[in-house]
Amino acid sequence: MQIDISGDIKRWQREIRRGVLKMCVLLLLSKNEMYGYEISKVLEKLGNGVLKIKEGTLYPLLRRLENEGYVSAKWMFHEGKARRYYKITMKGLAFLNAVKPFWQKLVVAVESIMRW
Amino acid sequence: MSSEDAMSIIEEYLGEVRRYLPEDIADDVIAELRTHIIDKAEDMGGLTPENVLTILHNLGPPRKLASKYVVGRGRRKFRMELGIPEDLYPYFTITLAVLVIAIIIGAISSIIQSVASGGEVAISILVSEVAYTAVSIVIVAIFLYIAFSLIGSSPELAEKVKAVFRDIMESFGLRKTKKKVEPKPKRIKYKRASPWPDAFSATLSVIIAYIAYRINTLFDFNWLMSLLIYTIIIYFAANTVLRVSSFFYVLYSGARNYIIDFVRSLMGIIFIPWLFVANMYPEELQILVPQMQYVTQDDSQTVIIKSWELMTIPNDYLLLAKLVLLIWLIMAVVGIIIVILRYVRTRPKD
Repeated sequence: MQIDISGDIKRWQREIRRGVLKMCVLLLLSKNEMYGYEISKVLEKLGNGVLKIKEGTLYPLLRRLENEGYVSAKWMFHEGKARRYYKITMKGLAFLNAVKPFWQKLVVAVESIMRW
Repeated sequence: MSSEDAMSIIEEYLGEVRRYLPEDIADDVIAELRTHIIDKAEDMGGLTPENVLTILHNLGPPRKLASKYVVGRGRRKFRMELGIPEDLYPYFTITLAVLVIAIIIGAISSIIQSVASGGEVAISILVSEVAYTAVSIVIVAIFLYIAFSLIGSSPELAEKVKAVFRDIMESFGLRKTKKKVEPKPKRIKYKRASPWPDAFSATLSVIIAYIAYRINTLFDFNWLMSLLIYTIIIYFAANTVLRVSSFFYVLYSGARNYIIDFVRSLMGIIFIPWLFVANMYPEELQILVPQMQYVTQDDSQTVIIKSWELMTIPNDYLLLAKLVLLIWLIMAVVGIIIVILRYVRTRPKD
């Protein structure tokens, strides 16, 4: 009998990625002001294929972060094109500073269990 | 294929997204998505319709994309729309099919039961069973249509309902959990409209109007039936005029005229007064009944229709006739409301 768990795997990956993406986007914005497409390109490049995010997910996520006060946005002209640049706020930085150590501990803990 | 074609595809898509977005964020979201699509298309090698369609395909259906902006917001955009969105339509048809099958099975089992208990089935029972089944199906279809339209009015609710359906279908093995092949993006642009359906319909309308006129002169209808005949003649005459206008419009412009189509769809309204009156006086309804004659020739007997006679509906069927008229009246009113709402929703912006 063949066991099909591909649906479960996808769902699990989606949930993990959803939680991590918020932190990753805030991490990127803590280094630089960026616009949406730029963020998606960096995530794709540095994310090793794991953090590749659909545009249909990234822009609503940015909008949510803005609504929650973690980022602010403004329209700016760059190379003759108007783009919406996102910048991390004090609240966003505070959030990031709180979750970063937790994430580092989590990664070490999971690694330890894997090696055990 | 030029960048103008690509831009028109982008604007068409963004226009759809905008319809489902809250007003306060719509301008910003649309401008941001537009910049994104153009940037990405340029990175892919240029602003061509092919590249744009691939990007739009990745962005997903407009309603679904808009719903992601709406989910989690305190103020949601709930636009009451009578009209089932494309992505919900398969689930509507599946539900309707299941219910129709259940109703038919119920009717068949009821007939079988009466055969088993009484030995034979009277034609009147059979006719009323078929009529009630048809009426039940119509009522179920109307309510289901309205229910799915309401669900479709809220993108968030629509996503939840779709997830429930997907789970049910997966549990019955009707739907595979994973699709490996990426479907090719569909072309969004509309094809050039054809004028020939208008020509066909205009011809048919003339024929029907003439037949109605001839029938009216051949038989001595009462006031209610005469009213129906005149309504039919006016309806088909008006339909002919509109179809001919539409034919020439489509022939020269290659597109359908929104106003003509809207007026034509609304014309069913002229039957509403008659349906209302007929519902009040069902005993005045008349039907044409063929008078049969048996002819014996060379030991063989054949049946021929001798004449057609006008008679009122038998008392046994009055209730049924009233019910059918009521359903027809409800369908006509709901139909008109749907047409108006769809017009308001999809009217072209100048």
